Amino acid sequence: MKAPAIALVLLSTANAFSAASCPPIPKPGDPLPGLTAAELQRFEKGREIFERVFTPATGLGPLFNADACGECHEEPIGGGVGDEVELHVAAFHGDGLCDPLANKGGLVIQLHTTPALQAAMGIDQEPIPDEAKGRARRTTPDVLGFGLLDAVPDREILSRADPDDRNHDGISGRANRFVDGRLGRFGRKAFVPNLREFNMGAFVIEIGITTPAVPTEETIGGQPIPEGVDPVPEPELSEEEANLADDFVRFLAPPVPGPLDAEGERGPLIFGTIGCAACHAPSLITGDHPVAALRFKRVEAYTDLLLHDMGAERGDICLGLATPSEFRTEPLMGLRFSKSFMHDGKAKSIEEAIELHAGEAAATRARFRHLSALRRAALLKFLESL
Amino acid sequence: MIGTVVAIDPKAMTFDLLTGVGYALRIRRIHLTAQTDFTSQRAEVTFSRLAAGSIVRVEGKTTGGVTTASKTEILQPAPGAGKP
Repeated sequence: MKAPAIALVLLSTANAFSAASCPPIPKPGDPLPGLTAAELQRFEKGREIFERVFTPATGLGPLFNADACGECHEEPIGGGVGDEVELHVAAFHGDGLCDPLANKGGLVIQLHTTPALQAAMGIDQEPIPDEAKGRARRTTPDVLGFGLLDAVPDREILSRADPDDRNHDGISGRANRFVDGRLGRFGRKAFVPNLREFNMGAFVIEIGITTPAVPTEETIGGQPIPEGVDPVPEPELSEEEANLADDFVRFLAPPVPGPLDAEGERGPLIFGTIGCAACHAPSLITGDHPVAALRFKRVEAYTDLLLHDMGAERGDICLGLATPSEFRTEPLMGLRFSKSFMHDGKAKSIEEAIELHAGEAAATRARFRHLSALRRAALLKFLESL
Repeated sequence: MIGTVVAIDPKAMTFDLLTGVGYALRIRRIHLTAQTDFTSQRAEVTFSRLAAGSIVRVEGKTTGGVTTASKTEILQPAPGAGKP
């Protein structure tokens, strides 16, 4: 990892939560501080779309994972985490190219069908293609503060990349790229370039709701949807409604860490000294943005939005340039809301999650294992506060 | 449209392009004609330069579900292309 070149000192007054008037600290699910009245109105209207429960009569499916955004992103509030786990598939070919099996129903395999599709095809989920050599379980993360992550300039992310580990610290950090070559940052493999595209894609792959941005339904294992199964005309959500939902997510405030006692206050220092911060960069700075509440703000996300090798045992699917064992550094903001950890939910505690870090994180994990009981407790208290 | 070439059929003069929005990924079959302009770094190239993994920009029109390219520009060669 390279040290970021930006002089953070110059921007230190731009903390998202510091202002001369000391505005109230946002609670989970609150909007960003500093939104205009018009933006707040869009946030509230967007929340209605985010929580709207779709039915087959309003466009649900015919393949879907959930009937509302808020069905999965629900704890402790809309936009939070969820206990749903979904299935992603891909094939990593010998030529080094990753195939997300888009012509076979991938990347995301929908786990539910509408009654009409079930009656027409006799299936209760999308079939898993035989070619799916890689299969991945994906938990539902919270999306609080993701508007700020979206507003981080590419150069801020790329300044931390060190794909060839030229400084020999054992930590590389590699950028992923979308299918059109743009820098990716969203999703567990940092594949999707921006929040809007992530949200618009999610409407169709998660709920089966088409929008003007994605006006076609997912195929069923690569085959078209049988006639009459999904009679609602496309797009099933208007441009304005889709934009409102996007604004709701964009304007969600990041979760403010909980208070720490004297022991927990030592946690951030230990987090840095054992090496966690080499990938889980404590903060990023947003760039210029048309929304003032997102402009030149510090977001304490604890991620560098880059890919890191987590070790072959953690590997599942490739995606874009990401190999099966490479994952984007998971943002730790909102960690306290999670009940399971890691991309696949395999860890049931933060401590277990640290133990599952390997690859580039192996040395840091070793340092964690050598911490005294007191220092380990301080680190965990800090992490549990995020 | 811009996307990644995932398959090429020289006989049929087509290639498949991976595009998408977020995780909603789509494969578009692109048909070529003798009139299709092929460029790379502003220089004219031939269809044979296209390889799976190349990122290309396609201009053309879609009629009856068939997309025919008038221009195809290779924006980024396939990983490993040009290496021994």
